[in-house]
Amino acid sequence: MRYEGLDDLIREALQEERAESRELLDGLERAVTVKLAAHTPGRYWWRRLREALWGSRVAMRFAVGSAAALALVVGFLAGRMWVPGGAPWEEGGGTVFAVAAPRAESVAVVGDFSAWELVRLEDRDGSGVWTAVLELPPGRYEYAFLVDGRWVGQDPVADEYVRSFGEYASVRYVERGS
Amino acid sequence: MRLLGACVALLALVVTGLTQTPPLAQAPPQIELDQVLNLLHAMPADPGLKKSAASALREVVQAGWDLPLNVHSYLDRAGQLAPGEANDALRILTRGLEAGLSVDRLLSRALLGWRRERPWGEILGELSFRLGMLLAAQEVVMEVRVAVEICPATIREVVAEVGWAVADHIAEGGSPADGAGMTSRVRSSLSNLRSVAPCERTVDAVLEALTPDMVAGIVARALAQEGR
Repeated sequence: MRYEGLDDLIREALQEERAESRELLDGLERAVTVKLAAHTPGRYWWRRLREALWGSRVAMRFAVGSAAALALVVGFLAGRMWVPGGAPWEEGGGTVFAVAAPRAESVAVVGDFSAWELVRLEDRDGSGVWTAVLELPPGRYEYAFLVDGRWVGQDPVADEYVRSFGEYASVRYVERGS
Repeated sequence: MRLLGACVALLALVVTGLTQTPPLAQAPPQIELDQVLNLLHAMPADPGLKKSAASALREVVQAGWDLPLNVHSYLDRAGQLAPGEANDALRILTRGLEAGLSVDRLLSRALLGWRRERPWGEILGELSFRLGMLLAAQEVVMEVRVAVEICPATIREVVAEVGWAVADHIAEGGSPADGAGMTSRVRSSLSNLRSVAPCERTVDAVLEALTPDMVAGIVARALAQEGR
């Protein structure tokens, strides 16, 4: 049946329906345009960052996972840089001094890097392995451990051993870029 | 509630990161020349010796070298000795500095002696023996002209390494006549120094020139100095 053949009442109803739909479509078009404009990347990087952080929706598990990883890294770096009472050496990599002393109450390393003054080692996880990380510039270093005050001069990982004043001391060469 | 849980978890992770990280040891404080000179001035030692030591320390700085790392600790401890003993401590320091030696090892050895609570007489004996060996090593190594010309900074380290290795051999009961044994020890020490020294080619040049006769020459000169 053609449109002209319809009853006046039906034609009127159809025209009203069409008019209402047009308004609805116009509204939808406007909403889409506004939405698209809102997601146009900003001109400056900080605006883009802000939009990325506040404008996007990220699944909770990814957000928590990323934040946890970031927190762990921040905590590790902060712990690494935290030096009680002094500043770290300026150059060179960390040199690990470690000694196994399961029943010891205090362990220290003494050496020419510290004018033979005590540098405390720690057994943080209670495994009996005491460690300290020293940032030493490249060079040759003589040292020994003091385990509960007892001199332990022969470190198995030393490069050499020297005997002086009746006791051994270990020697380690800290290489460039190590 | 979920947000609170997340915050607590994050805080726990930060604390874990902080507490499970091995701590860095602190570097010895940077010592200024004035601090060392003040300490020297306060020592109960002969004024002439103090003046010589101060002059030698100033020359080290003027020549562009770093002050010996342990000089402050050494003078601090030496200042607690009796006046005559403090004079000996200053003589050792000044002799080494005036000869252009890297005296850190000597000073460190003295500090080790004090750490081991050894009497000053024993420490002085050790220092005199080591200083003599360093001076002899310097004379012999400086004859390797190629090495000296390549890198003057590294040659000081080479001298220290050679003198120390020969001294270690003898101090540990090795025979001063065992040229091959001493040479092997020196060669091993120089090979280790090679990875540490700023200028490898200087070390290589000395390694190439190293012979048992050369090492025997160091011992002979050290003994001759001791005899004087």
